[in-house]
Amino acid sequence: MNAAAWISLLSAVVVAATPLLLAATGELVCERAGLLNLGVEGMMAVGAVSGFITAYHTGSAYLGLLAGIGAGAACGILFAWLTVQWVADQVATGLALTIFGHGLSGFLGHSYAGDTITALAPLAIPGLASIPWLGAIFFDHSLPVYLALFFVFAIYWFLYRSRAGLTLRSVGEDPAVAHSLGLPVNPTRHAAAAFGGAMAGFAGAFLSTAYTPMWAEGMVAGQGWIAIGLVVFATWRPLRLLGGAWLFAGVGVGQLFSQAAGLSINTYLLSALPYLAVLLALVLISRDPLRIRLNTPASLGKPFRAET
Amino acid sequence: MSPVLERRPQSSTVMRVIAPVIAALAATLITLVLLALSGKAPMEGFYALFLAPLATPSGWAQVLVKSAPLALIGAGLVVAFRARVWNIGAQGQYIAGAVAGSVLVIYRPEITGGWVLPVILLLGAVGGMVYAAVPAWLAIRFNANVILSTLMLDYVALAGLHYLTFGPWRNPANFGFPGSVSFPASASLPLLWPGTQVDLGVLLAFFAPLLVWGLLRFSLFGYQVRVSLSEAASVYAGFSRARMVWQSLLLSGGLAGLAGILQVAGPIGQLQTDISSDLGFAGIIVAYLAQLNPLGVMPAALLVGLFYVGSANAQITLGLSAALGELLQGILLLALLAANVLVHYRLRWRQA
Repeated sequence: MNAAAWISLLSAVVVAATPLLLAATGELVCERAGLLNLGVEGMMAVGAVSGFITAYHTGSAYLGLLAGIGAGAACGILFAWLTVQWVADQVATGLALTIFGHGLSGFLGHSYAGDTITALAPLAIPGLASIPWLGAIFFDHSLPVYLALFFVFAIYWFLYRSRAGLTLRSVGEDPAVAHSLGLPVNPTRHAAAAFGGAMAGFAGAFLSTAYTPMWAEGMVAGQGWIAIGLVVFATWRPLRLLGGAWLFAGVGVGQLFSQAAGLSINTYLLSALPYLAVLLALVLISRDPLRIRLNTPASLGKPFRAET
Repeated sequence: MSPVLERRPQSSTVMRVIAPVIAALAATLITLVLLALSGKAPMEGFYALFLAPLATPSGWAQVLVKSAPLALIGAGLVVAFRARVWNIGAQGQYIAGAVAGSVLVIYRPEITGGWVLPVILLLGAVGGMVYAAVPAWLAIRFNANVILSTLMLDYVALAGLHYLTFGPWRNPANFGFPGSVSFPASASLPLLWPGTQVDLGVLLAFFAPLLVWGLLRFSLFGYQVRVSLSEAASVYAGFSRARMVWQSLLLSGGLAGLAGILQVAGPIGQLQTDISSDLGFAGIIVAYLAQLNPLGVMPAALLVGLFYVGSANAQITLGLSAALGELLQGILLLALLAANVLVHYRLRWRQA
């Protein structure tokens, strides 16, 4: 492979990692507040369809992104409302949200199948984009690609350097203690779930308005689940999301490139590769039970209701 | 006046039964609103979805056929979920069962004899168990999260199914269409209701919830499952968590595998690319809709089966998306989760 091919490969990896990063950053915040939202896949589907329909009718892919973010946030609020306010089981609620989101996106998108929109235009960053190699790989993409990278660092700062982040982590570790200290447990969890939903919706809308600007049912194709796996892989630390997202996206993109290069491995078998990669990564990272136990937010998945 | 939740001293058994009914009503109402919002006549939609399939005997037969795999998968998941083993991979285990059960027919299509069908069904169940053994092993040996491993294996199974039906197992006589050879009579389930697709498999499937009920109620394994609701109690009683993970995954995987081969050797008649639609996830809905009670699995499976037949019907007569069935399931489960709050809490009105 020559330099140009490598650059286009790596630049494709950075783009393909974007939906994973966006969704995983949101899920990470949600889980750090103690809420395990398995509905990422469904929220992405809802974000994708609302983003596409909005962009289709307004002609603006940016409005589409906003619509996706809003729709995702609505799903996240629904999740918080059920699990925090109504103390519903988090696993069941997340799965319900996934099925609901899938169904809703199929239902709403039914009459748009095969329709296309004008994709989100790339915004080359002046100056940086002309750096040899790195410019083309990192700085010649559409807005969400930069935002995904920005959010990873912003959330790192938020969780470890801000007071609100400290509150959020305390709520996730021990809501009962946080509550007795007078910290706003339920509002924090609501906000975290809304943020998680908004990011998943953003990821979905990125898929439908920038990555493949044509409506096809099921375009999320398991990326929401990979994002949840990514959070475990990163052991709930934002900066480690980057490596994981590039790794998983790299496997997916590499698979496409090897097909284009006419590699004689069966296409269908190759398409299992990203999922196997996630599985393998999970096994490797979870092998040490102590590492998982020390890093998992202690109240993750457990219901909490202040009995006052 | 504002409503507040007050914890009940004991969870309400009555509410546990009423909540799914409330949820079904709420879900129906929401569906009507959705239909109206999307510019369809809501009553027409309601008729096409819920009443038309029940208006004819053949409609009833279709509902039974659709519910059968859901009853099997749902019954297995009830055990897994009660043991707090989150097997989200029934889809993959279902595919594994369909594939493993098909091996004999693919390589010996001319096979005959009374032993063939039982062996095929057994292979299917074993296939599902083997595929469920992978996440069990990864969980016990490597501490891997069961939710994620079972889910990733769903996608792997689907890729494998595509490979087989488009590749080595494709019937050359299919003129390029994917799909295996058709199952011969000796390897097909006998029909019980002529003129419909209701076969022996449907009957078998509806026995599964009863068996699981007996297992949970009367066996030591069932006792251990029921106790695992409380982690502390299980540990105190000295029950092995590893064994519980193994047993509940093997049981739910085996039942999902059986559901897979019953579909292939029954209504579908060959191993196809699209044998699965989304039955694995629908099985999750069934298990929760049954309130994780095996006896509730039967009505729950019938209701979700009705959704499938109804949404297929609405697709033909009203041009609605087939995704409506899935949407309905999602709304139903969300409504149920909201209604379930009344099992543990009661609503009190308090002066603001």
